[in-house]
Amino acid sequence: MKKAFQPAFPGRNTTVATTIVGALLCIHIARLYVLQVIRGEEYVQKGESNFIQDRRIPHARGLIYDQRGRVLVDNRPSHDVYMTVAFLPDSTKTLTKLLAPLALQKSEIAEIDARVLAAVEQAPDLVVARDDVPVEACDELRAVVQREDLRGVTIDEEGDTCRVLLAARELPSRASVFRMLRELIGLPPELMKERVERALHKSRGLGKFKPTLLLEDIGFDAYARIEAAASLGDLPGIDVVDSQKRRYRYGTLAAHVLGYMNEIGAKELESRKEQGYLLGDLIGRRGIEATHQAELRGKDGIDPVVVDAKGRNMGNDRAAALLGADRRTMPEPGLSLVLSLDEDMQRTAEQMYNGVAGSVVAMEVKTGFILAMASFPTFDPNQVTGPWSKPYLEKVTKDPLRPWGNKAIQEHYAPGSTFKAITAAAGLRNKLIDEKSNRACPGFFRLGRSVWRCFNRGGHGSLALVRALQVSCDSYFYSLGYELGPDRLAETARLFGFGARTGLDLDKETPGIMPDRAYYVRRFGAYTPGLVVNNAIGQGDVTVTPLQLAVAYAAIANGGTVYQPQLVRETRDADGNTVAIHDPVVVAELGIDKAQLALMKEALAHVTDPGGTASGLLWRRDRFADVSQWLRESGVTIVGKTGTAQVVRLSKSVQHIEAKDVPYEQRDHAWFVGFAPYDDPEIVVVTMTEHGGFGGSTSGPVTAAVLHRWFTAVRGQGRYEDLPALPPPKRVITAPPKKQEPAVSEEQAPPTAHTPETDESAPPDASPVMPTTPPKPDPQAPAPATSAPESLP
Amino acid sequence: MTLSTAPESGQRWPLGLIGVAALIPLLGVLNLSSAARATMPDLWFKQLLWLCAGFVAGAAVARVRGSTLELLAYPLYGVTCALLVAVLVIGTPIKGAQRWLDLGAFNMQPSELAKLAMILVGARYFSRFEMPGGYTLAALLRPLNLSRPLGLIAFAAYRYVRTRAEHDAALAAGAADIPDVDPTWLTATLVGVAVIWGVLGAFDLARGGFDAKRVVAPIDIVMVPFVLVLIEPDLGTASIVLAVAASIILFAGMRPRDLAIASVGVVGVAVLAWSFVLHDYQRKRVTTFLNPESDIQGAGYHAAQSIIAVGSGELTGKGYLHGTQTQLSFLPENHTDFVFSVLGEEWGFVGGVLLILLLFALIALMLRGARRATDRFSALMAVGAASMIFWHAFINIGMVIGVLPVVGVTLPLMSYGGSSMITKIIAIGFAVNAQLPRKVT
Repeated sequence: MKKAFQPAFPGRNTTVATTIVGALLCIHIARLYVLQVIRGEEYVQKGESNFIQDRRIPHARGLIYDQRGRVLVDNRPSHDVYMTVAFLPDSTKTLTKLLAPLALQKSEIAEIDARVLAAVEQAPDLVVARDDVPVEACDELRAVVQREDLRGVTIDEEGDTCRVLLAARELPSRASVFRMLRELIGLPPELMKERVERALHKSRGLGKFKPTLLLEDIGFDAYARIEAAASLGDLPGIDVVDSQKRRYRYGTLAAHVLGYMNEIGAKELESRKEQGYLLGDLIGRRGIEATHQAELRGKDGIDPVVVDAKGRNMGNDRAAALLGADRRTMPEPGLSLVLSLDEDMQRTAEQMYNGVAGSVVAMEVKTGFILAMASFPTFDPNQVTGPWSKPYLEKVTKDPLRPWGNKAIQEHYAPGSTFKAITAAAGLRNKLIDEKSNRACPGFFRLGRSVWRCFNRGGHGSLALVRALQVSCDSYFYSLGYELGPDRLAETARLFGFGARTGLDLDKETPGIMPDRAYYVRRFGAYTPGLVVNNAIGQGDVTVTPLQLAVAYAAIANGGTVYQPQLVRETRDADGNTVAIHDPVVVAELGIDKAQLALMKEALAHVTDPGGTASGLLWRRDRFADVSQWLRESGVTIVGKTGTAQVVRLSKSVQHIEAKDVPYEQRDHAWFVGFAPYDDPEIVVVTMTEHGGFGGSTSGPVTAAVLHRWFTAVRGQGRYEDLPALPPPKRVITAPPKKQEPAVSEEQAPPTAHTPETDESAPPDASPVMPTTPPKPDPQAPAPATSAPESLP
Repeated sequence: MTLSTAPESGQRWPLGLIGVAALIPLLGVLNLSSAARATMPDLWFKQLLWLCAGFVAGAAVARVRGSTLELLAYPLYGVTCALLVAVLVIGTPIKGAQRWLDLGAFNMQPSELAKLAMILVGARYFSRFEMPGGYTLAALLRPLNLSRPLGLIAFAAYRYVRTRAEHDAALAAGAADIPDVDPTWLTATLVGVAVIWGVLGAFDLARGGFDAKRVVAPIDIVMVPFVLVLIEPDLGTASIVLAVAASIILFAGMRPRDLAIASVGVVGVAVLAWSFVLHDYQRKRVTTFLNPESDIQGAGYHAAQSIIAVGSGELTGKGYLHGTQTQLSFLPENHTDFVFSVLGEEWGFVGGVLLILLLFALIALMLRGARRATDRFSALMAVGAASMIFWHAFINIGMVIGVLPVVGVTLPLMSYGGSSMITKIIAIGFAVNAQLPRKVT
């Protein structure tokens, strides 16, 4: 018979227990609800950020063309070597696996590892890991080698023991991988070591799962060899990636205008953070690459890649499956620039340059667009970046002639006689001179006890403006300058743009110095009257850049408009469509009567005539012979001015030594500025040769050559095809004039340009002056009333 | 004493319980086939084999006479404690913990055995120890028991030996920091306190007469395996041992007032344990649990990745074999402690809740043994077995979804592990045993 059921515990206990269990589990259900249903999306995204790694697709930087559309700067493909530290073989691990049967301590394994790594670069590369290993262990070691397929391990029997030999270069280790790489590319060990250390430093910490740049631009042959080795599995952790390198197609051509590129620095990264730059990005330096960086730069694309927890790329199929076929953001190429430079003229300027250091600037007279700008010495932007750039950079930086700087805009010099045209313009504007007014040149200018000498010691006699400019008389301008005074001279000069930056879109332009009374008060405490005298002939304290001179003479040539010089004509997109066109920019109007400007043009037109300071230009027989011939036959007149700016004051006794006997640094700077044609001028060219000696013979031919190029190869084609044809020559010069050329047809620097001598006893001997129209006054006659010096304060 | 069968006399084997107990591990095998796919693709098959072996063991246990299990309780307990001591002394160190004994042909973890031993011993001891109205703390804890002072002396000796060993090792290795040996004044104090305590205990013993409980209190039965496991160190398993014992005691009934006091005391002990007993890495686990983002690459990694995995499953999961956290190896240990993450990521809220409901069903069905049993031992054995499954599941799922700190506790019947699987099925066997009619002795 069944007894009544008597449970050991009241049923309530079980009910309570079950309820508690249920309640506690409900906590988990609630939590699951929160995580999965309410916050699920957030975690989906977090999960994605785990396995999605954005890889950058490099963009194509904008190209740079010359005015005719010829490519000056483009991009070429290059191969870069990347390494991922996490996938490099670890020799410690390999050794630990191999030597496990010997049960060695960590320190012992570390010691063997160190020896192996040291032996990688030696020959032979064999390391004895362990000697006298008992035979049972030997068999186990062999089994490990077989099972793990380890290379570079030999187990030598020696009686009843064996020895473990390791071939350092074959045993998988970081050092063996780097060594193989080095040999495949052909790099010297020190360079490889430096690159490896830098890359390892960059990939510390979490970076060891990311590919880090190890070597750039290795060349196609090396690339092929590395790919072959990698496909055999010999280079774990190494990848070769295609990228683009900037290519300056003509090497040193227009290097200063174009600039170059290198890696962005840490501080710059900070300041440019919002613009999306990353470490390792290249940025333009020095030149159009730098000043137009924002336009040339495009935008990198993004290729999201699926990685596992170790950072391994799981491949395209996985990425497409998880992220979709349209997951990539394609890169946007940068905008391209069409410069106003003309490759022909630039090349001519650079090849025909007749000195060691200096610059050439060629500019359109009516617009301010620059057709050529060259600075010497120069450098090759292609060699400034890349793995072999360090010695090149050092060489360029240490060169005492300072190749880095763009001497056309970053250096300022005393303009010498080229400044006389400005002084003349100031004189005309302030109505102190006109076409007919004469001033006397007795060979000097006296002010109280100070005397400034004209380079023609005998004096030019009495001259008016045209002749004074043609022969470049100093005394005329000394007296004119004195009469003007510093402020009036400076006022006109500033209209031309002197003493201020032109605003060209290149970097670090210097404004030069245009002294006025206030300047001298600042500098010396007070202005003394003689200080303007030297400035009036372009010595003293006035300094200009070659570009400023070009802008000023263009204003004279085009009838009084000062244009802002520009280098960029058009901006285009990657498909070649024009996005923006740059128009000429007017900076100022001179406000000088047109007739007066015409007079100055007339005055400057005789510089290459017989008796002019550049008359030799028509008769060169050296490499400028073609240019001379053209000058004689084309009928084109070069309108301009020579300038020989004294650098060092020579003592009186050595005033007439030959240029070649003066040390380089003491030789005068040579200027020549010229524009053409005479009627309706089109182009102005300034050549400045540091320490070049005479402006007419050193710099003159270069300007002439550049002008020649304009007329024969550039004018009338492409964008210039609407220019009217030149009139036939009015005169053809076939023979040089007879030999009664005066002794001083070549302009020289005034002997005492920097400091006037104190009172001399008597005026120098009279020597024959140039056969010209104005009457020859008695050199002993007192200076005309108009040039009487004011009494000293 | 004669016993009779449960009311539903026709049913001998609890088919519901057995069915659920088979269903859950089969789901586990399916889950494992995805979890370990990247590294150990055959794992699910091994698990299946262990499952079969486990069922054999479980069936055997279920069929054994209940009285046999009772008799086995204390011997098993003794063997377990001996093995726990052995593992501390000669165990194989893995990752800084000594949990495994190398027995030549195979390795075994005494701490797994400790859980089973605790079920049986707890059931045995407390089935014979009845207090009407519920246990009091005094009865459980017995402050004046001689076992305490003896334990204190053992503790002092242990600390001295341990710090001495560390000191000597550091000295020999020439390390920069040499840990100090426990200062003699501390050891002397501990010994002094122990002596005084012992004297008091001896008086109490003399006064009250000899009673086994005066020497070895109920709490001692529990504490010995708990502490031995704790210092392996294995916080997770130790907690389970303690939780099983506590469940048995609570089910048997405590006086409400004493229960309240005990709860407060537990909190206090936890604080003390935090400061003095827990290792640094264990402490770190708790702090990172509270804020996993603070050390997301280090200690917080597990927790953070696990939460991401589960959360990103959303309602219905990413689908079998499509979990990115799982397939791309972002979650380590996803075949052992973190299997629930795989389930959560691939089967979503639906899958997770389904598993929790199945586990609940399993536990509830196991507890039915407590309802139906007519002898205390069977009932408490069922309770112990059910609580072991419950606490495992509760703590494991809690740590996977960020409700509890990460401690190394596996998910019953789902995590990979031979000994773990067999232990759980044996426990289920205990519960089945409790529901089968007891034979008359």
